[in-house]
Amino acid sequence: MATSKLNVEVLTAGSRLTIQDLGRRGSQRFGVSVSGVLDLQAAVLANRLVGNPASSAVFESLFGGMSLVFDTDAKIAVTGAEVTVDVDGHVLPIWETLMVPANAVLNISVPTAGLYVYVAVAGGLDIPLVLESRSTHAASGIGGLDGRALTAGDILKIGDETNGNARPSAGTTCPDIMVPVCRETDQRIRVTAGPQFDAFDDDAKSSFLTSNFTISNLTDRQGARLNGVEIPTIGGKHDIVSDPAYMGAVQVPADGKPIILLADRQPTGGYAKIASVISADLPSVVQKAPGSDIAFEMIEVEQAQELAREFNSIILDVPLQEPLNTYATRLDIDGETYNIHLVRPTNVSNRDEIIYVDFDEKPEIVAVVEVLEESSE
Amino acid sequence: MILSEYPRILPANDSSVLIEFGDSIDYAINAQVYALQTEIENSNLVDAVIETIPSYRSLLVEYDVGRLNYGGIRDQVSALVERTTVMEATIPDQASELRKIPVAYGGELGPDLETVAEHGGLDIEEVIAIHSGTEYHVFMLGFAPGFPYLGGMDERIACPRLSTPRTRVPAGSVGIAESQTGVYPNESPGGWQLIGRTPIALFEVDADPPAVMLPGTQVNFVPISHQEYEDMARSD
Repeated sequence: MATSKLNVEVLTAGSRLTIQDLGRRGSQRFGVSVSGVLDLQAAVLANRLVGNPASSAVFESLFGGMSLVFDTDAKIAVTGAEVTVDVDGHVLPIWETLMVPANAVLNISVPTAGLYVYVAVAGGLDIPLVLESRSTHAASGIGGLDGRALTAGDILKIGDETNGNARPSAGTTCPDIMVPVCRETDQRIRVTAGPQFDAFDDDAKSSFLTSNFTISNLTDRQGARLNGVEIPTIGGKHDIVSDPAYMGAVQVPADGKPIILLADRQPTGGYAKIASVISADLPSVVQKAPGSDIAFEMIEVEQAQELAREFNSIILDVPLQEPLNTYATRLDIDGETYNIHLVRPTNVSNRDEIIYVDFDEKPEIVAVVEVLEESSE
Repeated sequence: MILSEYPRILPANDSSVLIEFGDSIDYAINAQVYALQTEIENSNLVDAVIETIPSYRSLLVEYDVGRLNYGGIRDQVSALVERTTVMEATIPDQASELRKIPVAYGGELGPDLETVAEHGGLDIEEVIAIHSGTEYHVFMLGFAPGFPYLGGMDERIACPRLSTPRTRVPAGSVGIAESQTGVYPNESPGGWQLIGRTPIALFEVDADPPAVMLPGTQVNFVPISHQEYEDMARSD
C-alpha cells in the first residue's frame, strides 16, 4: 500500500472490475462513448448509503468474486446483484451502510442472482476526470485507471466528496421500495416504439413483442445480445443511414437477433431500432445474466415518462432508513472510559448476529461484534 | 398538397427525442442537423437538455424528464426546427475555416497506395493529386473517438477493402474503403487500404475540442514529404 492513508487496494478483481460514474456526457459528438454505470439504481443508492453525491465514482464488478482492502476505516455500501459480503469472515448485509476497519479484507462472492455488483466508498474514488467523467471505457482506453479495467494490486485514492448532509450511520438501509424487485424473471420488460418501429412489418413487430428471448453469453457492457426468434429485418434490409444511438435501444442487425444497446455503445449506429427499453426497466435488463429469459411489452411514451419520474424519485428522494435500536452505554478499556452507541440494523433477518459499535471518540470506527446471547428486551 | 415527410420529430425513448431531416447522406440534410444543434444550444431549452448527438441525417436530443415531457420538448424543438428550415438558405457554413491535414503519402506510411493506383488505372502521383485536391465534408464522428465519416471522395480512387484486415493500423493512418476515405485517430485493427499517414494527433482528451476534424466542418489533405512527416511527428 502507498504510505499516505486513504487508499483502497484491489486484492482480487474477479472477471471484470471497472470504475464508473454517471457517464461521460457532451462528447458523443466527438465519437466518445458515454459509458458509466449500467445499473443506475444500484449505483446511485450505493452512493447515497455512504453520503456521496450520485455522481461519485464507484466500483462496478461483473459477477463479483472480488476483494478489497482499505488502509483506513472506511464507510462503504455494496449493492446490485445478490452477493455475500464478508469482512474478515464476518458476513455483512448488502444495500446497507457498512464500516470496514482498516486493513480488514472485504470479500464479495459471485452472485446467486443478477450480474453487476457496485461498491461505493464514502468520499468516492479519486481518479482524474477525463472529459468530465471518471467512467472507464476500456475499448477506447478512456477514463478510469489508465483507461483500463482494474487488476489485482491496483491502488486507488479515496476522495472527499460529500452530498452536503451528514453521512448515514452504519446500519442505514434502503426501504424495501428501493431494493429492486426487478430480479423476478417472469416480469416482462417494458419498451416504447423505437424510431424505426413502423418500418418493420407486422410479422416482425409481433414476433418481437410475443416471443421469449434469452440473454446470450456474448453480452457485455456494450450491449445485451438476445437469442431466440430471428426478427425479419426491414424489407430484407437491416441497415439504415447511421443514426444516433442511446441506452436501451433495441436494434435488429442482419442476423435478426436483437441487441439492446448499453453504456459502452458507440454514439451512432446503422441498424434499425425496433424498440427502446424504458428507463425504469433498464436495471432489470442489465442485471439479467446470460441464459436468463427476457420478453417485452410495449407501452406509450407518456406512460414510460411517468414511470421514469417515479423511478427517479424512488432512487433520489425517498429517505433512507436510519438504524433502529440505537442505544448508548459506557465501556472501560484499560482505565479509559468510552461512550459507545450500539447500533442495531433495521432488518434483522440474517443480520441479527451483527452489531455495530460506534465509539463517539472516533465515531467513524465501527467494529463488528457477534451477539452471543439475545437480549430478552 | 403533399407534405414532405421531413423534418420529422419522434420520440426515441422516454428521455430523448429524434429529429430526422432525411434518410440519405447529403450535405444539405447534414447542414440542417448542425444548424439545429446550434439553435438548441443557444436556446433556453439547453438547461433541460442532457446531450445532443448528431448523425448524418438526424439529431438526438436527450433531456431531463423531470423538467419536460415529450409533448413539451416536441413543441419547443418543433419551433426551432421551423426556424432552421426557414434559415436553410443562410445556414452558417461551419466550414468557412477549412482545416488542413498534412499527409505523407506512400512508402511504408501508405503501403497500399500502389494497390489503389492499380485498381483505378492511375499512377500514384495522380492518386495523391486527386485525394489531396478534394474538400471533404465531416458528416459526423463516430465508431471510435475522433473517427471522421468524410464525404466527397472522388470515385476514381475508390478501392475495395483489404481481403484480410490488418490486426494493427497505426494512429494517423489515412485510408480508403470503397468510395469512402478516413483517418484512424488511434491505433486499431482495420481493413482500409492505407495510402498515407498524418503526423498530427487527431484526438486528444486534454484538448478543447478533443477532436481536430469537427463534425459539420470541411477538411482537406495537404501532401508533405516523409522528411516533413518525421520532423512534425518528432515535434508533436
